[in-house]
Amino acid sequence: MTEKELLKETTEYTGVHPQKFALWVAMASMTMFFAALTSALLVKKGDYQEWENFKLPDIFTYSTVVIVALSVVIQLALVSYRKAKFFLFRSLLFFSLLLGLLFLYLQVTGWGILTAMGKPLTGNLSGSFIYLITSMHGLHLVVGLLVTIIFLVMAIRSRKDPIYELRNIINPKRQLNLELLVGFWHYIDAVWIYLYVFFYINYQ
Amino acid sequence: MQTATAEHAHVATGHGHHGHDGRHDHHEETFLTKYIFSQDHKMISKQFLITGIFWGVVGGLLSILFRIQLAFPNETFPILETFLGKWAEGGKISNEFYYALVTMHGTILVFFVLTGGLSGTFSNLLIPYQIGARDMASGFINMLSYWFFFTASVILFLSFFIQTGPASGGWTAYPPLNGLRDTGVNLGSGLGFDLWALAMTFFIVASLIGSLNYIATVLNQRTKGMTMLRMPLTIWAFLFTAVIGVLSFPALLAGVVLLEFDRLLDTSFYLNNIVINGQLLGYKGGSPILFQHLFWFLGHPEVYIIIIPAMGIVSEVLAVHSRKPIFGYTAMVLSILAILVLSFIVWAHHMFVTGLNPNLGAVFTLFTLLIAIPSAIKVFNWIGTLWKGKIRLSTPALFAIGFVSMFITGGLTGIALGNSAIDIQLHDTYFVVAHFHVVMGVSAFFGMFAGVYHWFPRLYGRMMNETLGQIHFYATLIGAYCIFFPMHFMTGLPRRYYTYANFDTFNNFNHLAVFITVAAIIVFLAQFLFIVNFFYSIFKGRKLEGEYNNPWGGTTLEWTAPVERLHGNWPGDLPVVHRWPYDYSVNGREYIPQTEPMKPGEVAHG
Amino acid sequence: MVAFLSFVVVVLLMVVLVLVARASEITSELKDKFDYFNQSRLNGYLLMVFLILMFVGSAYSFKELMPVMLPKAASIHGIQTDFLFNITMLIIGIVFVLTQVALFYFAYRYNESQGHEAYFYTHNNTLEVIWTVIPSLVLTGLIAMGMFEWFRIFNSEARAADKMVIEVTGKQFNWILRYPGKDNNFGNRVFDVDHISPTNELGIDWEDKNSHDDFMADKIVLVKNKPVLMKLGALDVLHSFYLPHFRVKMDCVPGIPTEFYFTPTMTTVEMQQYLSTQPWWQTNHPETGEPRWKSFKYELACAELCGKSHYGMQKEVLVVEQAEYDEWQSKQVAMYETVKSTLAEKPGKVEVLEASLAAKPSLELKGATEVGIESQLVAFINDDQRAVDKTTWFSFDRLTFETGKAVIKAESKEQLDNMVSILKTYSNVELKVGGYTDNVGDAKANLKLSNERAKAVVAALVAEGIDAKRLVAEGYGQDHPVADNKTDEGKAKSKRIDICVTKK
Repeated sequence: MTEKELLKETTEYTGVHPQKFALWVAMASMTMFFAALTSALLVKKGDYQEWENFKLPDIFTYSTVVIVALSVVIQLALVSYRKAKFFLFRSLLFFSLLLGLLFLYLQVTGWGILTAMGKPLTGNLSGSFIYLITSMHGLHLVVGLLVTIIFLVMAIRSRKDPIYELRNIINPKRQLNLELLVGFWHYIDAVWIYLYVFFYINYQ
Repeated sequence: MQTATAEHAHVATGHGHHGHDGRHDHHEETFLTKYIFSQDHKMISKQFLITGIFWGVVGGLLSILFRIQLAFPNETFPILETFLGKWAEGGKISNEFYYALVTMHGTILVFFVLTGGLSGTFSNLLIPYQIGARDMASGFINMLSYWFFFTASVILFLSFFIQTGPASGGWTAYPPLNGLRDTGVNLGSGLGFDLWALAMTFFIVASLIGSLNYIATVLNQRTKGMTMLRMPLTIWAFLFTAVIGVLSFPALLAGVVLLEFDRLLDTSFYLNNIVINGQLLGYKGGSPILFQHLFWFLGHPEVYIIIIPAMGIVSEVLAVHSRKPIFGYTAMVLSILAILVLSFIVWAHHMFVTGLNPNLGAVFTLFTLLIAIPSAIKVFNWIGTLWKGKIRLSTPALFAIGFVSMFITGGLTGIALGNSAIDIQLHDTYFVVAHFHVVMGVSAFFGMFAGVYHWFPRLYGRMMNETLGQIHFYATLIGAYCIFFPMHFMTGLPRRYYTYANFDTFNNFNHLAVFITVAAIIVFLAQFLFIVNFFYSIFKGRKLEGEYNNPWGGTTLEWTAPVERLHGNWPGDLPVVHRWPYDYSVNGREYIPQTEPMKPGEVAHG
Repeated sequence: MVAFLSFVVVVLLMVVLVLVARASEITSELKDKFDYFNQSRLNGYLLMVFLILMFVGSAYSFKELMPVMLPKAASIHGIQTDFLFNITMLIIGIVFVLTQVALFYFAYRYNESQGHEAYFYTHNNTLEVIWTVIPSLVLTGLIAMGMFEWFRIFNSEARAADKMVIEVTGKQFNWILRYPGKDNNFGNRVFDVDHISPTNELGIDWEDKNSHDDFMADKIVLVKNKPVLMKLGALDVLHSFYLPHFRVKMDCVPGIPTEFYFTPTMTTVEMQQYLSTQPWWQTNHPETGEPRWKSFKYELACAELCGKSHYGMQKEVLVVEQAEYDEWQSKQVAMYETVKSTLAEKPGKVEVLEASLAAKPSLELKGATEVGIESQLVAFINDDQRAVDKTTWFSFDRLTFETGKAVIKAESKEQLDNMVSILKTYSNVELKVGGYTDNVGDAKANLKLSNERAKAVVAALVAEGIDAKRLVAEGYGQDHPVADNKTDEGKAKSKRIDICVTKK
């Protein structure tokens, strides 16, 4: 149901489309998950006598830049969609996908560098936590990527087929889905920034 | 039996709705989309209910098996070997399988029956109906929620049939017992535990996405006039339960992820200085207590996730059947909120004897005993609802009353356990087992039964057999008390013991063990009275006459929808709400539906 | 057979019930309505009957089961916690009676057959306040009493100086009980592969003199009125140290030591004498044929699920007078006595060194000690039982560098010369030289330094004529500390050069 139709039916609501509200609640839930992981790190860091702080490889800074760029690009994609500039929309969406894949690639490479510098997964706990937390973040990112791919595929297939386009891309329900997807990406970006700063502060 | 009068749909007075057909979906429904991958909250609710019933039977059966071992530790039953094969060689359940039984019993009942089966059923059924919505915020997500639950169920069920058997390190999954995949440490800590963890992951996701829907729908899709304080207590309960779930389940997921990292990837989150068979393993730096913190951060709120929906159901059922408002509506809402908040800060009362800092122990004792207060308030309010009512002692009402009785008994013993100094002796003994079975197991089941008997006509347009229902009630009430009341006296007896034969100290309760087992078998069999009644009545139960029917004379919106279950619930416009849901026995009328406008000069109650 | 028949009877009974229920509803269907009115009357009565049965049943349970419960507490704090428990149960018992009576009585008195209308009464805020405040006060009282006792139990400052100490370690599926012997000091335990083995699961450091009078026992022996501190741990999984008669329970956590301090107040004999006055304990034990009190003993049990034989971890606990304890202790044999012969039996350092020196008279090792790297290396090379692997490392003990540099100090020359001699004598041997630092300073710089130092050692050996192909140098920086980097001593130990034989 579009926001308009819903308005017609129910007039007692919080001012946000219910599914968007649901996304906010989901974000609260995911935040609790990352909070649990980072609390576990803090507990262990406090407890464990032989915790070894170290400087994170620079590659994680690069990946931070990439994911911020992703947020910017995918927001621009949404803006293009709203302005009915569908070619631009498709291109920016595709670019976002590439940035997402690049981010994952940089993360995985970062793991390799960590191992090479003497911080393997099974080594000191300080190293183990990096793999754990970045992989959990990465899994959420993969989910986002999958949905983005589905969108992109539909967008591309709709190029020459106006009917398909109308049914699958240019309709209010799809716009809502897209807004939810973009919201989710901004969230994943924000979580990464939190994690990056968290690691920076706690591994000094 | 009440038949509805014209109270249902002729209330659409001047609120500007167009008279369009409420049925938005004119699409063809296939068998698959109607019964299997349904996005309709009513069908999803039935899916949760039936899956919950299935798991209830399995979980109950597991308990009968291990109770046989406890009552008759020196006897053999060849029939056991026929069914269980290598797990019961010589007709005696092996110790390894015994631990698998208790582990799976706990997991199945706590999560699959009393969370999935209870919240899943009633939140899905009642939220759209009682707030006046067509369906949940996202039918698609709702459908996914059930199918993830189903997937979790399949994985957990399959774990029974693998070579090393299902998880057997306790439903609490503590490392290092569950953190070492080496089957030398524990058979069930091999693949069986991995499957447990995978099933729990799917279950947690299912629960989370279900909760998203519940919260979003309650807050955003109430019909015109349905302010928050005009919502029935069931909805408040489901809303708060969903909030607790959303905030606490992620901690369990985090705990399990770290555990699987230790198990499969040899990290040391929970492991340190482990010596197996004289060999020091390479794990360094971890702490098993970290897992306990993460686990119980969910584990405690989990018990409230189980009991609050049952409380909401009981509040509603008692009001309807007493023909009286629930006593202290606002106090009831605030007490659930208090329980919600407090439930997040009591978790370490499960960890009093882990060697944690005594100051922490003190803080947790304080909050634990405080949480008794909102629960007590609720009990007093329920009793107050009965006082000077005109109580129809039907099956739902009986189960609601039974709920209150059980909740009192179980809740009170929590006061002894919550006091840390007393808990030193009681921790990990049968006193704890008695406590949580009464306050959570039996109570929540009574709430669930009250709900099923009460809302069966809403689910299927028919009534369940009252006589059979009442026999089911008495058998379960008496039987459950027989099982768990005497258990409190087994104060020193340690939990999770396959046999007490190795100890002089613990060999004194053998006759009681037999009594409890016999009672348990009878209670288990009595549940089939319910199951037969339930399935039979779906097809042959006493039909509700007429297009509209309100068999119990309830004021809430679910009774204003037609007996036939429609997509979008109401054929015309959505009902409009003018009053709170507890106008029973007011101004000489037995009940006034929420949809009836206030008369000039009428004072709004509640 | 009996079980099977009972099962059949119960099932048949249920079938009958279903049919009766069905029949009764058919008649109500004809009337088009179920007779809730009369049914409510019946249920009202039945609920009152249930209430009475519930109280009768409770009373019966008390009568039958209380004598069988654990006897009175045999420790100081146990008396207090039992008292707290009893007070709590009394209070909740009163609440239980009042609320259950109200609940069922109201259901009976106000059911619809009693002929009056319901009273529309929505709330009473005063009442809400009253039944919030009163429970709060009661609970506050219980909390206060509980806290007082809780802090007393765990107050580590108020412990007696002359307390006993016993170390208990749980493992699958037994308890290892270690007593500290006359010096009341335990020998150190070290958690590394050098110390922990199947014959030394606790990892006791036999070089610590305190360990020489430690002894193991198969039961816990305590002294009446003498406080004891139980030092608890676990080897493999969680266990829990549970002394039911003393109201003692504390988890045993692998990797985290825990403890529990208490004072036993009754000897085993005294408890037996007390129980001989209790009716149930006077009855005969089915197995011994004698009165139960005669075979009474205190026991230790495990109270945390630890695997398939969790229920089998039993040990006896004996409480005696001081004199009897002293006598018992004097008869115990210290572990070291049995162990030291095996320590000497191993193809050990002394014998092998002598043998090898005899075999190779040209091997002259200046200043080499029995435990120095030279002896260890030669012993390893000559021992056919020990294979080349990646985890056997020996540390240079007389090799030093200038601070912060990779320059070897002159005093190291003697040991380096010894190494050259050994390598020349055993010409097949190849070595890896590893450099290590403590954790002071930047990790990258430490890594570099350790690398350079290892290389410097190799260069020194090559300079004396050892083929460079036989040597490999690598720096490990801060990794693999051998001691706690938090102490200076530990740091000093971590800063080292080690060698590992890669071929012999």
